[in-house]
Amino acid sequence: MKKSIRSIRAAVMVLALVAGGLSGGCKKENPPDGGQMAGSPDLENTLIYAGENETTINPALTYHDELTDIIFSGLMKYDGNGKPVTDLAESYEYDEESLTYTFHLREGVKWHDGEGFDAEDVVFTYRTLTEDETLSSSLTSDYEDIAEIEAPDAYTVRIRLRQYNAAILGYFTIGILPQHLLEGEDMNTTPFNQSPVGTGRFQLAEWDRTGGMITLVRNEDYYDKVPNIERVIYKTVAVESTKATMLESGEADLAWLNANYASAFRGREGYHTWDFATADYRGASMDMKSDFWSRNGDSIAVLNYALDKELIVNSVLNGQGETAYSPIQKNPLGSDPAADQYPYDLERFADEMERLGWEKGDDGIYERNGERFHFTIQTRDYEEERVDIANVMSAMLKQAGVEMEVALVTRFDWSAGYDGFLYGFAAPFDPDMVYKQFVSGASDNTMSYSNEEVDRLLAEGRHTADEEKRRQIYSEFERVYAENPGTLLVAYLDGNYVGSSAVDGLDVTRTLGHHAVGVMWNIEEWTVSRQR
Amino acid sequence: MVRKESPIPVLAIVILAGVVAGCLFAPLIANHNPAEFYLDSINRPPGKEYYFGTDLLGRDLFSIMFYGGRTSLGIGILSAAVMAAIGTVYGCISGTADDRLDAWMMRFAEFCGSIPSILLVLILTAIIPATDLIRMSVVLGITGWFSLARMVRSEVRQIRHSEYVLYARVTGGGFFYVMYRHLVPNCLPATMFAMISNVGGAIAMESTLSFLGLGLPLDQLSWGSMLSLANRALVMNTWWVIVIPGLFLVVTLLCITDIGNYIRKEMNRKCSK
Amino acid sequence: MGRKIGKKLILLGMMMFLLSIAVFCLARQAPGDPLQSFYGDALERMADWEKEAARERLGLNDSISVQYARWLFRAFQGDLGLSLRYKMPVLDVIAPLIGNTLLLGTLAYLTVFALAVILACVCVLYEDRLLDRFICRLGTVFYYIPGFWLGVVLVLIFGVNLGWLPSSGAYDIGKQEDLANRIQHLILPLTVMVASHLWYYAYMIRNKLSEELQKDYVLFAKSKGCTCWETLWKHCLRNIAPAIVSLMAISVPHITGGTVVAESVFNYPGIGNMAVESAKYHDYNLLMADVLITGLVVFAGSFIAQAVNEVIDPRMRETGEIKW
Repeated sequence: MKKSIRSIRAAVMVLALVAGGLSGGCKKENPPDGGQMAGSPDLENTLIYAGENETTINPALTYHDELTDIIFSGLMKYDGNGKPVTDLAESYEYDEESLTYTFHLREGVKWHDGEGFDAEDVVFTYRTLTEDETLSSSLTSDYEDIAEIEAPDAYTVRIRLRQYNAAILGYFTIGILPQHLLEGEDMNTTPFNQSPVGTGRFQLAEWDRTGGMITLVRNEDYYDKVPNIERVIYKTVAVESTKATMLESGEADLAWLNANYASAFRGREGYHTWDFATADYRGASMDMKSDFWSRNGDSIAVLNYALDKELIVNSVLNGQGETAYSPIQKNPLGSDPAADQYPYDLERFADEMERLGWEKGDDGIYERNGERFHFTIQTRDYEEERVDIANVMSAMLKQAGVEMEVALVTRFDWSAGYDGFLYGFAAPFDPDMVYKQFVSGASDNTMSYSNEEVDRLLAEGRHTADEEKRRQIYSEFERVYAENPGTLLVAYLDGNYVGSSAVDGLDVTRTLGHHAVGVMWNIEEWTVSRQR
Repeated sequence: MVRKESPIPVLAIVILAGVVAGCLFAPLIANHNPAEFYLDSINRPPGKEYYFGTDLLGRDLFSIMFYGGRTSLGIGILSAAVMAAIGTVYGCISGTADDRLDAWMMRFAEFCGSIPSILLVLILTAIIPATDLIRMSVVLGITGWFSLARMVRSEVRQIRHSEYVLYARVTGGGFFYVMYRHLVPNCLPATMFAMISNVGGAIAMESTLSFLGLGLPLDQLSWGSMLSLANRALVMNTWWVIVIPGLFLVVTLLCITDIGNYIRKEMNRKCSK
Repeated sequence: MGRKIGKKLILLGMMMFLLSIAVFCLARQAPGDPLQSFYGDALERMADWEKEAARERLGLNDSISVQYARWLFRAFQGDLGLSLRYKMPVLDVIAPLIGNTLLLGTLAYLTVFALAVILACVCVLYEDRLLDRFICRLGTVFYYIPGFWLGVVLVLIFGVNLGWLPSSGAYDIGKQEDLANRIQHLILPLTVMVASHLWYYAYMIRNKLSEELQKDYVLFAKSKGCTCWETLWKHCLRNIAPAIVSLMAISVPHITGGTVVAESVFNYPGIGNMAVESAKYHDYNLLMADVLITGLVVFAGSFIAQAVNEVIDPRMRETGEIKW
C-alpha cells in the first residue's frame, strides 16, 4: 500500500533521461541540400567562431556583418587594401558622360539553393535599396545617387547615377539578394532573414537556436576559389567574457576579444593573436535634438580639453589603439593632423569654459544660465570596453567640472530621452562612408547632427572625381568637424583576434570596420589543422 | 537524547558587528576613493597600497567593499522591512477575517509564492528598472513577502480567539491597534527567524541580479555589482576580484543565519517552557 | 477519484489564466515603445504613418482587454505571438529549449532529494557528533554561496584550468543526440544547482528524521534487534515519506528558479536563460511564454506531489491545509 518512494523516483529519473534525449532532437531548421550535416562530429576541417548574437542575416538590413559578408557576394568586393575589385561582375565600364556603370556579370553563378543568378537579382536588390519605402535601413543614403537600374540582358546591368559619386563603387560591394525568394516580401520580417540564401563562399546549413550555433558549409559551386575550410560554426555568445573562456577551454577556435582579454593570450603556447588596425572608433555622440544639447551645442568641442585620451588608450585599451581626433582618421585618402586641435589641457579647458559663459557652481559642476552641465549618455552593456570608456570619461569629466551620467542599456533606445550614446563607427574604406552619418537628414544620422559647412563639404567630396581635390575637401571636413563636433571622440580601437594555433591564414593587411568586422575577408585562404 | 543548549554565536556576532561597523564608518576605514579610477594601477593584486587589490579599471577593492557594503546591507534591511510590513499586515488581515476571505487571501499568497521569485523579480525589473537602492529594495520586498504572510496568518489564527484579543476588540480597539499591541508581538517568536533570513535572502538576490545584469548599475557600488565583474576577472585571472566580494557576501550571510538560528532556538526554548 | 482529478485540472486552468492575465498586464505597463523592440534602429527612419500602420498591424492600438483576448484566442491555437527580438514565432524559439531545461531541472530535482535523504540519514545516525556538525556547517556554507559565484569558480577550475568539463552550451556540435556528451555538459550546472539547494532540504529532512527517531516504535525496533540502518529504512523513512513529498512539492518553484541562474552562468540554452535575456531585451511575448511555461511546470508539479501524497498517506486527506 505504501509505495516506495525510491521506485517512483527511479522511474521518473529514467523517464526524464529518455525525454531529455528525445526532446533534444526536436525543432531544427530545415537544412538546404548539400554540405556536411551537423550529424557528423568531424571537426577536422571546421572553424568554430565565437561571436555576438545574431537575429537577422540580410545585407540590406545589417551593415557590414561578418556572416552577411561570407554568405552573400556583391557586384564588387574589397581587396586587402580596401579597394573595390570585381566580384560577381566580371568586368565593368564607366561612362563619364552618361554617369552610367555597366556591369558584365559572371555566367553560371548559382544561388545556394541551386537557382541561377542573373541580372534580375541585381536589379531587384538595387531597386529595393532605392525605391522600397517599407525598407527601414541605415544604408539607403549610400545609394541615393542612383537614378536608374536596368538589365538589358540576363548578364548585364546598367546603373545610371544622378551625379558623380566617388564612393559608389565601394557601395556596390553590398550583397545581392535573390529575387526569386524575396520578391514581394517585407524585408524586415521575412523568414528569409533566418535562412538566408546567397551566392557567397559559405552557405547556411543550419541555425540551431537550441545550441546557439549557426552552421555554415562551404559553397562547393563557388565561382572563385572554394574555401579550404569545409565548415564554419558560428557560436552566438551573449556575454563577452564567455568568448575568452571558450577560447581557453577549446570550445572556440577564433574570436574577437577586447584588448585586456587579448593580452591574456598574447604569446601563450597554443594560441595566435592577430592585431588588426581598424577604423573603429569610440566616442560620445550627442543627440542634437535633445533639450540639453539644443541649448548647449556650442560646448561639445571644449570637452576635448578635459579628456586625457592617451591615458584611456593606455589603460582601458591596454595600449591597443590610438587617440581619436577625427572620424575619418584611418581612411585611405589620409588624414590631416591639423585637425587634432585639442590637447589634454585642463587650464585651457577652464579658460574656454569661461569664454563660453560657464561658471563653476558650488558643487564643482559648471553652470550657465541656471542650467548645470549635466547630460546622460546611454551605453550598451554588451561591449565591456564601451562601458569602461564611458565610465572613465565620466570620471575625468567630473573632475573637470562636467557631469556626464552613464546609463547602461541592453539595446539602444532612441526615444527614451537620453542626451547621447556611447557610439562606435568606422569608415574603413572611402571617407564618404561618413556621409550617411553627418549629413542632415541622412539615413544613419540618428543624432540629428546638422551643419551646413559639413553638408556642403561631404556632398562635394562625394561628387568630386579628382583624388587630390577630394583629399583637400576631406581635410577641410576634418577641421570643420573638429570645430563644430557632434561627437566627443575618444579613441580608435585595434582589432585583436585570438585563435587557437590550429587556425592559420588571417591577413592583417586589411583595415577592419566597426566591431572589427571584416576579418573574414580572405577566409577562403584560411586553414584549420588540428593535430591529433 | 539530550539536547544541548545552543551556545551564543559569539563569532558570528563579532564578525557581523565588524562588517557592519566597517560599512558604517567606511569613510574612516577606506584609504582610497571607491569610485575613482586609479588608471595607473590597474589589475594590482592585494598589496600594501591597495589592501584588496584593484580591478581592471583601477578601482580599489578595499574601499569598495565597505562603501558597497552600505548599499548591500541597506538593501537587505530595507527589503526585509518591506517584506515584514506587507507580510505582517496581510497575514493579520487574513487571520482575523472570516473563513472565506481568509481562504481567498491565502490562495492568492500561495499562488504568488509558487512562482519562482527570480522570475517575478525579472518581470518587475523589466518594468521598474532597479537602478537605485530604494527601487531595488521595493522590488525585492514586493516579491518576497508570501511565506511570511502565511506564517503570520497561522499564528494569528491561533490566537485570535484568545481572551485578550477579544477583550481588546470588545472595548473598541481599532484593527490596527489590536494588530499592533497584540497580534504582532505574539507572532514575533515564530516569524523572527524568517524576517532575519529575509535580510540575507535579499542581499543574495541583489547580487544575483547584478550578476545577471539586471541589478544595480556599476556606479552604484555594492557587493553584487562587484560580483558582476566576476566573469571578466575570470579571464584576466585576477582572483581577488572574484574571491573577496564573494567571501564578504558568504561570511555576512552565514553570520546573519547563525544569529537568526540562535534567536529561533531561544524563542522555541522559551515557548516550550 | 475522477472528480478530484477533474477539480484539480480546473484549478490548474484557473491559475494559469490568472497568471497569464497578470503577466500580460505587467508586460504592457513597461516603458519603451514596443515598436522599438520590433524594428530596432530602423524605427527612427519610419514616417509617422508607417509607425501607425505598424501599430495597427501588430494590434498595439487596441485596449488591453482586447489585446489580451486576442492573445488568449491565438494561444489556444498554438500561436503565442511573435518574439520581438528574434522576429520568429515565440513557440519556435522556445520549443527546443524546453527539453534542455526539463532535463536539467528534473535531474537536479531528483539528485537534490536523493542526496538530501542520504545526507539526512547520515547526519541523524551520527547526530550531534563531529560528522553531523561538520556536515551541517559545510551544508550551510554551500547553501549561502551565491550560485553564480560557485558557477564562475567551477568554470575557472574545471573548464579553464583543467579542461575536463565544458564551460557552456548543452552539447557539442553535432552531438545533439549523444547522451554522454549532454551529460558532460550538464555536470557543472547540475553541481551548482544541487549545491545551492541541497542543504535546505537535507536540513529539513534531517530534523524531521530526528524527531521521528524520538518516537517509541524506534526504541521497540532497536530492542527487537534491528540495526540502525534497517530501522531507518524500513520504518522512519516511510513514516516521514508524506513530509518529504510535501517538501518536494514546495521545492518545485525553488529549484525551477535555480535553473535561471545555472543556465545563465553556463550559457546553457534553456528557458531560464531565455527568461533573463527576454527581460533584458524587453521581449515581452517571449517573457510571457517563459513565465507561463514555468508556472505550468510549477503548478503541475505541486498538484502531482499533493496527489501522490494523498495516495501514500490517507491522513493527508484531511489535514488542516487550506480547503480548496
